[in-house]
Amino acid sequence: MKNITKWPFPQGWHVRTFAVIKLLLIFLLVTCLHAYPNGYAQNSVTLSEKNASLIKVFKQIKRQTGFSYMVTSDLLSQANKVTIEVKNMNLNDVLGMIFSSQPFTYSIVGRTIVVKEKVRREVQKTVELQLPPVDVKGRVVNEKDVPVAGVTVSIKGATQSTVTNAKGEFILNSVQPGAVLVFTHVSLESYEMKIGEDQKEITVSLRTKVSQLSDVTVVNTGYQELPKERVTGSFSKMDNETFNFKVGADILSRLDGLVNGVYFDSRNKDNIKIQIRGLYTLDESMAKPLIVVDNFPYSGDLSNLNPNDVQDITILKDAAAASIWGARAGNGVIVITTKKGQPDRSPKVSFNSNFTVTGKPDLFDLKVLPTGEQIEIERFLFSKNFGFSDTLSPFKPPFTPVYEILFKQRKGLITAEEADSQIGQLKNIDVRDEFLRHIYRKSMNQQYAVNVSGGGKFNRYYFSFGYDKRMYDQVGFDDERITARTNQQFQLTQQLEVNFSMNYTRSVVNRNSNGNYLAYNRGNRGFYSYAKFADENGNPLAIDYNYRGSFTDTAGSGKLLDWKYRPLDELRLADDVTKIQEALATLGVKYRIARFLNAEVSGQFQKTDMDRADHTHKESFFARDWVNLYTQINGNTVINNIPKGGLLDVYNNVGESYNVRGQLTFNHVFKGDHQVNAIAGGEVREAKTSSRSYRLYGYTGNLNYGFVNYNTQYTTFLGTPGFIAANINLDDKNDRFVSAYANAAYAFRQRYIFSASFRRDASNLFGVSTNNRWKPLWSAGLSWRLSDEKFYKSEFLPFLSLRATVGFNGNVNNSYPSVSTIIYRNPSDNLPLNIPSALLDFTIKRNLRWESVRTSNFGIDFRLKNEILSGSLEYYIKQSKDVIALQPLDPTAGRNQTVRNAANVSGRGIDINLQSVIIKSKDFHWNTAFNFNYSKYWVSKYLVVNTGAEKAFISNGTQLTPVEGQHPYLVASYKFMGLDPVTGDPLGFINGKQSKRYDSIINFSPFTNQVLHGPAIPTVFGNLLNEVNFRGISISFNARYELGHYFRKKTINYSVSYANYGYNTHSDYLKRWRSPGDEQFTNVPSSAYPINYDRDNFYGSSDVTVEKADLLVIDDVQLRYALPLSSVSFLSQCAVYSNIGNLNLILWKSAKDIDPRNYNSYRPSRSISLGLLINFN
Amino acid sequence: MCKSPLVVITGIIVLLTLNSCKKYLGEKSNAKFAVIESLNELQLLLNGYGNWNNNSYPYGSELMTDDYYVSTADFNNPGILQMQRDSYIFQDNLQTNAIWDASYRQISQANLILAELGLLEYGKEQEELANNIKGSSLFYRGYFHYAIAQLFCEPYNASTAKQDLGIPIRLTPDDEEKSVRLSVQDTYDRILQDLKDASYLLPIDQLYKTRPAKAAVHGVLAKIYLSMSVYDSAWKYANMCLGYNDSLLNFNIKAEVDTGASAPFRRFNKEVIFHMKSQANTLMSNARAKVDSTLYSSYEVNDLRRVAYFRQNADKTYQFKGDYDGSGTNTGYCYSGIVTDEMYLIRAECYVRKGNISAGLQDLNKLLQSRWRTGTYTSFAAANQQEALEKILMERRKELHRRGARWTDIRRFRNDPLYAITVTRNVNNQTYVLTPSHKRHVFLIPGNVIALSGIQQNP
Repeated sequence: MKNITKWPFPQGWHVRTFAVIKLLLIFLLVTCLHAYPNGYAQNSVTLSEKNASLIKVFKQIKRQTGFSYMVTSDLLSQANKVTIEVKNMNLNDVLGMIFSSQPFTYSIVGRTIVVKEKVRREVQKTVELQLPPVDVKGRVVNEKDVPVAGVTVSIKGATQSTVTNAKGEFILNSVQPGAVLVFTHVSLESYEMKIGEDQKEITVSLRTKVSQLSDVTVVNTGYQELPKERVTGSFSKMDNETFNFKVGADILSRLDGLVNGVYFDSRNKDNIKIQIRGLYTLDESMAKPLIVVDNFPYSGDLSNLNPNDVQDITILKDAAAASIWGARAGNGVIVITTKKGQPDRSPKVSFNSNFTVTGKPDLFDLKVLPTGEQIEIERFLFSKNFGFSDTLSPFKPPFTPVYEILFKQRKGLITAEEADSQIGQLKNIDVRDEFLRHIYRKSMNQQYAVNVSGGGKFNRYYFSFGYDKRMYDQVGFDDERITARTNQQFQLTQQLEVNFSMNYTRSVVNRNSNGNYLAYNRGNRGFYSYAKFADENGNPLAIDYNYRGSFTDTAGSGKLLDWKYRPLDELRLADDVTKIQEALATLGVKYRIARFLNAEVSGQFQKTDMDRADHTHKESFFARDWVNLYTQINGNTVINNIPKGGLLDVYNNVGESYNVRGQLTFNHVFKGDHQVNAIAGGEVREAKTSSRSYRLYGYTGNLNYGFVNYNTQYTTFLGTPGFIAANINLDDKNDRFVSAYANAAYAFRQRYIFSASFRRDASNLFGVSTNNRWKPLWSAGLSWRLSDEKFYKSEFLPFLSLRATVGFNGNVNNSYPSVSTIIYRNPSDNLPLNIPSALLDFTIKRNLRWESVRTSNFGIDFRLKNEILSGSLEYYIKQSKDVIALQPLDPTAGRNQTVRNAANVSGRGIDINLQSVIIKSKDFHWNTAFNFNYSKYWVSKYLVVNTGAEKAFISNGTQLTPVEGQHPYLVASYKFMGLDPVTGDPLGFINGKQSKRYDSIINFSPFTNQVLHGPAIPTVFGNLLNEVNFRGISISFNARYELGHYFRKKTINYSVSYANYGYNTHSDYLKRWRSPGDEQFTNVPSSAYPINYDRDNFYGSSDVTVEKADLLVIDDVQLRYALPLSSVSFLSQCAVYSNIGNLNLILWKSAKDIDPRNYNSYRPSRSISLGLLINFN
Repeated sequence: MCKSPLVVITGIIVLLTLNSCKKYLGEKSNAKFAVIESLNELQLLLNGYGNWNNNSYPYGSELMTDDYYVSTADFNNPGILQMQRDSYIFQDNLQTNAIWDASYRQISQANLILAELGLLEYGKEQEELANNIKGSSLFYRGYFHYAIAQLFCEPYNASTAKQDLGIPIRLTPDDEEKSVRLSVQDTYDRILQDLKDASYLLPIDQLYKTRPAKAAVHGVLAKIYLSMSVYDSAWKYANMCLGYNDSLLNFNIKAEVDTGASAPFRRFNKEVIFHMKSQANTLMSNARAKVDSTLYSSYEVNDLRRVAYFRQNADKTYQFKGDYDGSGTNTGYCYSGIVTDEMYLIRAECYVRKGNISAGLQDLNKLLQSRWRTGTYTSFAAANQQEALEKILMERRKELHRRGARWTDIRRFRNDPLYAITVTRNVNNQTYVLTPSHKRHVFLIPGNVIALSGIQQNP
């Protein structure tokens, strides 16, 4: 080992950033070559102690060999002091020396030194009257019925003993009835059991040791792993069991409603936002927690990771926990840790599979008018000549079938009776039936995952494969994913440890649906509710898409391609495939420089490659439409400026990221009372994305395509001018970060812990003056284990600890440059000139600083006797400063808003987490976990003064809007003063008076005129997770509650309804004011024609449309049955489970008649999963 | 034994985090972004068709003219903005941000180019390019300030211009600068100064008609002086402009004007000195805006503008198709470039006003000759100055349809008892009148501008 002092790098060696990868390899190689040949002597010990306590010696041994120890305090009190001087001696010999002078002996179980009393032989002699001995067979499980290996089963007062195997089983031969079996294990409470006369088969359930429970909870910050009791910061941990409470291919959604302090803002189902302890920024793009996977920030798409590879998830909530992540941790950090192999473990195979079915969406849950009523609206509009000018438009927009019938009637082509009867037939159609029949299906997900893990003395390994197949609820939309992962750890020498992991994902997504019910349209027109997609024989029917039927019937007199649109044909022809590959590789080298000091260099490389080919088939409407539009017919000559054929749109996105980190870890105990754990390091990170896309015209498959002319302006078939879209796009982005950090914790007598951290970050914020590039952030904390004090003597509350921290995190946004910048534009973007140009970037921000978030956190951790109740209670205060917000500008400046460090956000909150074992008997367990979160925050400073003269402030709480003193997601409304009893017009309020001047109410109403309801996301939320287990059958359900927030429900908007010719009109239409007196029963205004936008906007944003969103609901239930396995030798666990998701069982809500979570759409359909989990030995 | 690696590893960390950081972090985060480092970037900004020539000049003016009308149904169409309706029927509370914001955005962009140009160092060989950049920016700044002045302050009246409230003039890109309303006199002085400075800097020829050359500046100056009723200067600049280009399209030649086509004029045709198109408004799209019937019937049968400019609708009304952008589907914009026909008309009017009736009518007749069917036009002769002037003003209205000129004239003649124009609307069975004394010849300044800057609102 002496050789290692010769370091291979020359003096003044200069690190070029990406040479670090090479460095890693050299480091690894050189260290191996120079390693001491006997470095594999794993169990050798070097000790130099004089009159040391036995415990201290044990700790030394543990540190050097990894062998833990087990000793009762009874025995320990009898222990003699130890004096020993050995160097690289075998552990067994060392132990022999130590125990020779002790009044007790020891044995080694697994990797644990178990101290036990010396056997007194006289006991055996006293046994008289012996019954015939029996062979005792048994099985040991923990409270979760998981078999426990390595339990020592001994006979009290005898030398005979055995150890349970991987299935928890043991056999003791020739046991005297009446003898007492003693079960001992490092992490389980000891248990004694008297053997009866004919008791030959026993099952023993052991409880996890209380102290072990908390020690086992290790928090991983991504930089270091620490026992929970040695940290001062605030963490939420989701263990593997809770993580598997839900099934599905997505990792993050499994956190929803289960983790303390974490709220999922899922008002927009397509953009679910995660909040950790509220939101202290005002820019949606920054309002995300940082996601860390296996110690590095994850820049890919989390759906590329297999949830079956996830071991647990830690949420870093306060500054002491998260400030180590610096400038990107202002909104909290989610640390995902994947599964690893276990040392000294024979290969263990685990298999998990499940199948989920979700029903078709409940379209009839949507509050829309029946077809008949919608047609009445169309008739009304027709009578007003509404939209007639479109008949003159060169773009030939389509009319609905009802309009076409009425046009015919008007022209005298059909009689009124014929028209009525034709329209009458349409009334029986509801396009939602058509959607459910042809477009939707039950969605089905399948998941298979298998892994093998284990380890020897010098290595640990984990391999996994996963396959997921999802068929979404729209026909043609499905995906599949294959994942493979391995994690390897090698203890090359006593000093050198190398770990390596690799993850590969490949997924294929077919997006061949035309869109769901809400997204469907007819090109430049809305839809209509009496559309039919197929005739009685199932043949696809055409609807007028983009153009009027009378135009497409005759256009080109046969010289054009068919110009009809048939939705079902489009569905059949769609061919849009996305292939994604992602590789993620991590290499880490850890070198023990001294007993107290480790050096670690680790690096990660990630590459994601997304290829999408969207082939618009030549027979599809869009391909025919392009060809027809650019066809010129001069007499008998037909010129196709776009060759006949399909379109091929190709997209290629590549993402790459590199991380390199160097870190020193210092752990040392000074003279027993003082312990220091510290890390210091630096890292470099780069994340690049590049995207390329192009389109081919005249594509006929087999990579054949045709040429078109992009820079000629053609006269299209409609007579309008147009260029052929080039659809070429190139884009490159590159974010770089450089950081230095340090974190130290000092513990005095294990009772008083002080921690501090420091970090500086810099990034390539484009053009930011260097001053603002380096952002220093720090934190400090302390914790006090009150229950360890000598004066503390509560049996009821055996554990009590207090914590307090303060510190800073940051938020960074690389998208705001601070000098005048231009964006290059291609000649093709600058038609008709066809020369290069540039756009001025109007987002220039001068002197922009990074946001900083200060968090103070106060916590109490406690545990009641026998774990009846344990948990933590935390109070925090947060304030973010220099929050980047849009600030309105006098538009005379050239733009009407700019981005500034214009706001502060302040808040506070309470997090309570309780765990309770309510009932625990041999056959029946009932465990409960309860979370309570209170999170209140508001914009405490905003540079903009409300002058009172500007536009009224109205908000649905869907956008972040800074209003001083208010929640950023504020719901604010116009004051509604009832309906005019004569006309049914809604009455508003301005300057202290009732008013119908809606334009004034909207444009000139002072801020104080509005009704401010409150936040749109809950201030109080949490959940109660119950698990009841009866003889291996368990049922778990999660009840969640959300309180203190508001939502704006949808209602009738006549302008929108009329613009869409009645389609999708809200059913509040039926409740509208029709005649005087109605105002006493309804708040829905009378129908107004001509259209009055302001009137509709006023009513639609008035306070009668707002309700409280409070809710208590059960969404998820899991049933599980663990098969009794004592008779199957090759299985250690086998369970079948079933999950019910989206149950939406509302136990209580404050809003009447409406589901506050699904107010703007239909509710998600329920899903049922069936799954099987098998662990082989 | 362990000191050496410790030092090295610490060294690595220090090097990693500190050394060569500047260079590493100097990499730009988006490859399409660039800082302005040379004249080239500024020229690229001026190259953008969408930056200057398309969709930025205000349309507001045309909305209130008597050249068109819309049906009640179209007026009530949900696609129509409230501001467009309010303008159409001259509402007192008529307010909009679209015009103010867009024009000042252009002004700010021009100011930014000027400011960046002032910071750049360049050699003598680049002076010509620099002058072009500076001249173009001054041209745009002047032209857009003028566009704002045409809507938000009193028409120029020499006797009251020093007292009348003008508009805020922006000369720097600083967005913290406080807005102040100058007098109308100072407003116009500044606008004219910018344009005159530009006329010295700009070249005689430009590669593209989307770039202003000397002729374009003179054309704008002629328009501005005419709007100010300063006829000497208007004549001078119209004359100088025509000195560079006096071409006229012959409506009889299909290659020049395809009268029967849905888009009879070519973009960048020979009459065009400078190309620019205004913002569009849905109320005036060619499907909705119908040509005033009296105006339409004033085109005689042999006047080819009757077919080149207009197309009959199914309901026998007429729509406009003759815009100089050549797209044939007017979505409701005005052609706001500089065209020789307008210069002829300005020079003709100024001649006549100066008393040189024959020279004025010579210009007029030359223009009309090119518009009429070959051999059918008989030169117009006038008995007196007033007759000549009336004819020229009528031809201004007929020739410059949807070019923004009508609104300028409505304002120009506001206090002229002879030529004052009254606009009448009938919609939803009500009649609305824009009398010469109506206060909405001057728009209200947007409420948020007033609120954030504290400048004085118009009456």
